[in-house]
Amino acid sequence: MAAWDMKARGIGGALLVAYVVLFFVYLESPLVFILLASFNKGLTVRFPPSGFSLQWYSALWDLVREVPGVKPGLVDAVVTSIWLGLASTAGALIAGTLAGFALYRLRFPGRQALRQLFLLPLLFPQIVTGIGLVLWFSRIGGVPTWLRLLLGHLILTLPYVVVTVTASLETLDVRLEEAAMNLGAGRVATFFLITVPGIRSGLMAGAIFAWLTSFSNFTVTFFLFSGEVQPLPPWLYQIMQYFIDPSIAALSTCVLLITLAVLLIMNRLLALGRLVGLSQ
Amino acid sequence: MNEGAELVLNGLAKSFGAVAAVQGVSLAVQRGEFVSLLGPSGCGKTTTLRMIAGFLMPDAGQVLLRGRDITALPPYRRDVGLLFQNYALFPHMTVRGNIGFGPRMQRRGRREIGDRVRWALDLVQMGGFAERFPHELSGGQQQRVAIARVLAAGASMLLLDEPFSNLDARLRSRMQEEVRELQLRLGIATMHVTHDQDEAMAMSDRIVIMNAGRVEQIGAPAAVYGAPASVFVAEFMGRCNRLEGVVSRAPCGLGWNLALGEAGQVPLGNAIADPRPGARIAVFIRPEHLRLAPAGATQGAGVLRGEVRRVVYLGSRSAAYVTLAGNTGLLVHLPNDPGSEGPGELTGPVDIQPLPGAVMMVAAGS
Repeated sequence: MAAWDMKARGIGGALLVAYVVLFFVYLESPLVFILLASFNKGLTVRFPPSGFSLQWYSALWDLVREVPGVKPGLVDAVVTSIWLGLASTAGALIAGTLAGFALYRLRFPGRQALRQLFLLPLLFPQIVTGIGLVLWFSRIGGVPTWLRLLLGHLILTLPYVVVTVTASLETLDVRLEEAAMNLGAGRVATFFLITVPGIRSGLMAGAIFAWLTSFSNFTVTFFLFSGEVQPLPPWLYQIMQYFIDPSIAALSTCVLLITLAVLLIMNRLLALGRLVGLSQ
Repeated sequence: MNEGAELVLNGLAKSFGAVAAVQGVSLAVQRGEFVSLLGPSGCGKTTTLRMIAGFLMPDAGQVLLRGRDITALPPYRRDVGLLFQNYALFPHMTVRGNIGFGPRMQRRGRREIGDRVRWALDLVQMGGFAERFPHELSGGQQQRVAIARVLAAGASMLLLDEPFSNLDARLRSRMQEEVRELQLRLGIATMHVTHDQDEAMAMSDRIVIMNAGRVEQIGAPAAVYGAPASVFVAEFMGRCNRLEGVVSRAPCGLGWNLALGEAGQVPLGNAIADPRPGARIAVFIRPEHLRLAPAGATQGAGVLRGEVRRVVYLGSRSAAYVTLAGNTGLLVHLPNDPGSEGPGELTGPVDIQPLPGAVMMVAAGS
């Protein structure tokens, strides 16, 4: 059927396929390049690769154990980034869900305007956010690094959760909540037993966006980190000032794998609320 | 009359902005009674129901359930079970989870929840479906689960919000019968909102007809159909012929006629309480209360003359479209005898005679 369709479309169809393939190659080219570089034999990356080797992964192992002149180490940076991502995701989920619920459920003047305001941090240049936060924190003083990072990342992650939660609240059938109340469920029970499961897909999307944003953020993070608490992106940046060889590519591949693993785990955790593997 | 009533509404009123949706609705539902709120969309029937369920706060008036004022109570403290139009089954819960939700919210023990679920499932004959999810059920099955869910919660009164309108015609009439039989068996007072007068008549002890936020008439199905209190009720409860004419004395002897000029006369019988000769009035006659005969076959003055334009065979009856002299249209429903192909031979000029008692007088202006 599909083949027949292609034939019927002739040269136009072929062009379309070529375009899609090229587009995809372009989109994924950084990824492909990094993968190739990490398994490359020589010091410079060539296409086609000059040979397959795992030497950069073993070089990475040395980095894991000790990086001369840079503290803390790679493992600390990865752990910091994962925890920072999870903490800011959790914070954004709670605060964002409540804000989204209020925006959707309460009718008050200026509601739409407020809704747009919640999205503003997404539109700010991050460098402005970063500088603003640095000025603010140095004015206050005494805020520990982990809290500075968490507060900074919340600004970046909250808008995603507010957007996805309000979007899925809008598709939630209000009558489900009415039915629950009619059956004797108070407002709190209705919220947790009916509303939250009903917006699960929105919560999941918000959580994934939030974690990715936090885990991969460089600009704002760069303004907020300190020597002893270093998330992965600024750590990588510093490392690259010492070594510029394909072990960075090997490290990037590993970061990619960590990201995928965390996303899968989050997907599984948030789906648990459903008891069974029903996708909606 | 309100002594011992299950539900009493006292002058309920609700406006949305400038729109007065419900304007002073008062009525009572007796123990075990099935009452339908009937009216066109926008008549205020759903608003009334939502005020009883507690999802809307009335601007004025009271809702009394078994004598207790529940007007200000939140929905979850009301003890009225609402059956939703779209069933509103919880999609992330099984049938068992849905039906057990009410007892669970009442903090019943695990065993009691199980008993209630089983009892309710048996009532709607859905015993084998406890572990299914709502999306795995047909529309009719979802409806049964929704009924079981409301009953398992043990409310003292049922509210039905057009629950049959999403079903196809055959399933709809079967569910109407089942719900009515269940309601009679359990003896649970029920208020039912619908825009379908056939459904209201098929299910109700009494019908409350609403229009533009007000109650037009309350009565048994036969009363609101046969003796409508207003033009609106007469026309909403079924097809109706409206005849306008002049009150005149019957030619020889007693009684009064309605003279329709060339078209003839209609005997008013006992329908008219305060006859004033020469007054122009309108009367109503249901299509099935008219009989046709070939022109000239009927003796006497109480006969209309007209011409059959078209006859339509409708199964249980035929509909004849008749034009009276003076161009008034008239609809006549005729019974179809077994084996007949309907009164197709009745074409051309006919005499039209109302059955005794067919003429309905309806107060003008209402």
